[in-house]
Amino acid sequence: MSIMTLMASWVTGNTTMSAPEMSYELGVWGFIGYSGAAFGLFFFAPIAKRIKQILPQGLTSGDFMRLRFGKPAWIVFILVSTSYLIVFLVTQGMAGGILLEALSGINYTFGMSQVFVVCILYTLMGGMRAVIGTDFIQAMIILITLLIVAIAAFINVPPTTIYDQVVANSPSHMNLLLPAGLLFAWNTTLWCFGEIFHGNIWWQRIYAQREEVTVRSFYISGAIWFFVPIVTGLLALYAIAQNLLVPQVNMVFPIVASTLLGKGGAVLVLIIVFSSLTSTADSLMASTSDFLAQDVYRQMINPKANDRQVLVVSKALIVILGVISLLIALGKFNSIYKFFMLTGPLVGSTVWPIILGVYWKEASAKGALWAMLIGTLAGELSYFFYATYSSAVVGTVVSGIVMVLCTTIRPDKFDWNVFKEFNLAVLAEEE
Amino acid sequence: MDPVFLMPKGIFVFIVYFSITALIVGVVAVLKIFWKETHDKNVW
Repeated sequence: MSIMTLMASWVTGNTTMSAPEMSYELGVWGFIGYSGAAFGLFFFAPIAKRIKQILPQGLTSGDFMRLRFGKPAWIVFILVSTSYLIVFLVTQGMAGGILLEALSGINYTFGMSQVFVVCILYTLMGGMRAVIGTDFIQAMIILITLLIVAIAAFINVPPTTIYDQVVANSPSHMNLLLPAGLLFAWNTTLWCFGEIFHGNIWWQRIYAQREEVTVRSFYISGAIWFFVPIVTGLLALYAIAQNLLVPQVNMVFPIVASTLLGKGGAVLVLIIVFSSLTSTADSLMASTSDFLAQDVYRQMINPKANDRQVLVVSKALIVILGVISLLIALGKFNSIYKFFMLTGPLVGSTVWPIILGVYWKEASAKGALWAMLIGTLAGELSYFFYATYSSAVVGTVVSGIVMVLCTTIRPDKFDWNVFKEFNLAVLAEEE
Repeated sequence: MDPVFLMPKGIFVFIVYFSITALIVGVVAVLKIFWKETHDKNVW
């Protein structure tokens, strides 16, 4: 069950919509680069085990940042995390709206709004329990349907023919030395490291798992997920091989499927993408509202709040987050991926503070604070003034340098007992 | 002018077949684990 929920959370609307989009633009590097996101799960596995050992009673990723690095770094982390989660949520709604418009002609605004309304309602009614239950069912639907589309596609046009036609029509799509492709692969991998390492979605699952299954579930879910963007990306090469008319890069996958399999294909894609983006959107809403309710409401506004009050605030936050995301998604962007890439530096800048904070006693709190601030700033500047696909690389590298420099100049002497005391206090409160 | 090195045809074909096969194996493995866990421990 742990494996399925981890994998379903990682098979997002972006995996099924943006992986083909990037393959359509960058060729083989589109899907190779996107599959690199699986390494985030592999590398996070040992860190997850360590987190489970030092902070078994934690509730959110913010708990770790607060206890390990203090209030200033924690506040910056909350801002970084919330900004990322809202943009992520927006992309899921946008993907749903675009999909409905491409396949059924339903107006984008109406379709996108329906995605948010449905997700808000069932997250409100079922909470995290419903999210985890639906995650499993959705992941199975996604994988089985994707396999049906892919097998049908490659029976229809053999891979050798697709290869010959892509080389004839657009050889750069098979070029392994394409500079933009190489940059994209590095950027996506580091960006996804950031998404996983800081994300409350993943931390909540660590806290909920048994320690003995933590590492295994991250490895297995990563190994299965690795092939999902490859298969969806390969389908985009069919569009190039067959010179399909793609009016908007976001629509590659739905158009390929409906061309190959007619109306049946369109329905299958609708099922896949809807399952993937709703499973991610509900996870995002549940984990973000929980994160803000625990870290902002309980820790900052009302420390004496009981569980019931926190639950009420959490539900209100689900609605607020959904409405904010819906309003932003009204501005339909041409490329979901490029819009989402704005968050690359935000999450990339949290990678080193978390890795070093988990293992290195001397890792400094000021270092973590400045690493997130300077890393984010450098990455965003790179996004706007250098290259879109460089933002996460720059954000991650700069934050790593800042973190190590600050720690080397003025190391902290962190007392690991802080975590122990926190765990005991939570247990005492529960009793 | 970008440097050019095309992915060999054999590698491309291998990726197609291998990734689809791996996904099938993954789905079967997960269903098996799911069946075992729910059947033995009655998690629902």
